[in-house]
Amino acid sequence: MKKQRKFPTIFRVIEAIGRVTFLEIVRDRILYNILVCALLLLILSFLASSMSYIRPERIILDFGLSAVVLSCCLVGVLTGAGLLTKEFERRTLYVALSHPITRTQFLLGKFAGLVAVILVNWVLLSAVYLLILSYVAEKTGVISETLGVGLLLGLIQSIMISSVAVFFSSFSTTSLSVMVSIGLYLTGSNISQLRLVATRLKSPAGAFSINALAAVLPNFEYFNLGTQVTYGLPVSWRFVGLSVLYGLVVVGFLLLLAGVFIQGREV
Amino acid sequence: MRTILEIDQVSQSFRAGFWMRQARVLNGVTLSVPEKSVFGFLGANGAGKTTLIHLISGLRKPTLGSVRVFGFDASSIQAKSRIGYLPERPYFYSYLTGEGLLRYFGALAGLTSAQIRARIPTVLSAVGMTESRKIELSRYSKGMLQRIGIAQALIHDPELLVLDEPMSGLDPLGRKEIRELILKLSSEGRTIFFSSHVIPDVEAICDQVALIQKGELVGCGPIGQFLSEGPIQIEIGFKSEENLDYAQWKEFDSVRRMSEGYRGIVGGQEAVNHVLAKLLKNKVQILWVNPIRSSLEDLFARTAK
Repeated sequence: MKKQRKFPTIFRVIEAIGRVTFLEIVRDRILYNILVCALLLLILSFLASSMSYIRPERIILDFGLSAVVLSCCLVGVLTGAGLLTKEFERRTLYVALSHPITRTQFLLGKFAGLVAVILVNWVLLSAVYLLILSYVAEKTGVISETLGVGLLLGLIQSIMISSVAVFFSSFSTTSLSVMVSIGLYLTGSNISQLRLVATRLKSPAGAFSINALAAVLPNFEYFNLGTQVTYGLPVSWRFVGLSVLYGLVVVGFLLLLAGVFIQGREV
Repeated sequence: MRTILEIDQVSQSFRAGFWMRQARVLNGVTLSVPEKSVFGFLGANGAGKTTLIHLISGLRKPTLGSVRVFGFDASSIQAKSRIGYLPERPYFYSYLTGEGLLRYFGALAGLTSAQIRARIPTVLSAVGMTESRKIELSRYSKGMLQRIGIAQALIHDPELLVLDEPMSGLDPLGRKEIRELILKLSSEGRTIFFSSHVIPDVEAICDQVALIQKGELVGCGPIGQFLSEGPIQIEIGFKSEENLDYAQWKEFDSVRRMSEGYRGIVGGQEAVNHVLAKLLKNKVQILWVNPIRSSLEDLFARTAK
């Protein structure tokens, strides 16, 4: 019975685990709740814009983009926070880990499945958003390149916050992971405000601490174009490239740390 | 015969309680499993069977000692690629179909899509699950889950099967079917290591057994060797028209009246002969003569001495 054994490649493992994770998440009711809420928000923005006489398309622009990004972030946090914890609690990873794969490969597979769900959610909502926008603003030409960049950065942002949730779920409970991830998202989206607080502090030690915190926390402001989307102002490709790179580095770093933490976690 | 599983002075501790104190679950366990054998691992609940199986399957590393499978460290991918593992409870994704589950684990085992497609009918037929391959696992019965669990353990055609309580929770027919399946897999040349706390399950199919109690190995060898040790007791069931006081017969250790007659317990072969002759002389109808199997507790009590 002696035979040559082949080991699975990392891509094959990620694809197999990712596929199963995707199927698992799309069966989760919370995904549909978030999706329906986002769609309602998009319809609401459409209704609100019809009541406005001055630049109604801007209401849809702002509301719509926020709805798409928030929905993707919520999917990432609420499902990402339970991604590993559920596996340990339900012991579904036992048989998977008895195969010739590493725990880090398993983690990457789970994350790939989550990213796939976020991507589908993003594509679906972006399509509805652009459809509404194109219907309302046929003559105003609000569908600019900046809007596309805003949507892309929104996607990167939601993948980044998902990695934060997955990182915390590698050593903590689901509820704690959700709370800390949302807290980090809110703080990370206001890093400039944090730095402003540091400049107004009289204590140099306090200012240093806050600046250090601002430097360490994941900065979500790099992905928020704000008024640039509203007014269709151009965004430099250098900024876009660096933001995407920053997002990918943070994701990679957090997954690396999560990989280290789950190595030590007892099954 | 080649030894394919070597467990050498293995100890395992866990952190438990508020102060995270170390609790020792296995203590200096040493055993080896020869190739192509059916090896039973017998112990009461909480004795440390599942912990040792986790170490063999490479799910965790021992605190002390070593576990080597085919000469490789059990947690290495070389060892894992040659093991098929069935957990005690079938912890599988309930939304997958039987076939989907096999595709998933086949990919994790390193098989190509073509190899998986070729293996699925073979393993499903081996466990008698061909008809249920398209049904979601959430609709499977306990027996079906055990079977599909064994099928996933076989998907990559491993040389060593590690089964954690494969007959747990099954009805007598289900137990019989799993026993037959294990024997069939063994006849194909696989080595099978399985845990159980039920002596008849182990006795029926194992070449060798290891007994574990409170994390320590208390014996290892053929099961008959353990069962033949200690006092032999035989139960005689009989029906009598005469109303004699059988409890007064000195040959009986104990006698109990039942609706259709009496049950008497006799110790030793000589006493059985004597009692049977005496009963027949009194024109008593013998209903049955059965040796009393040792219970797990008896076995452990004896081996621990």
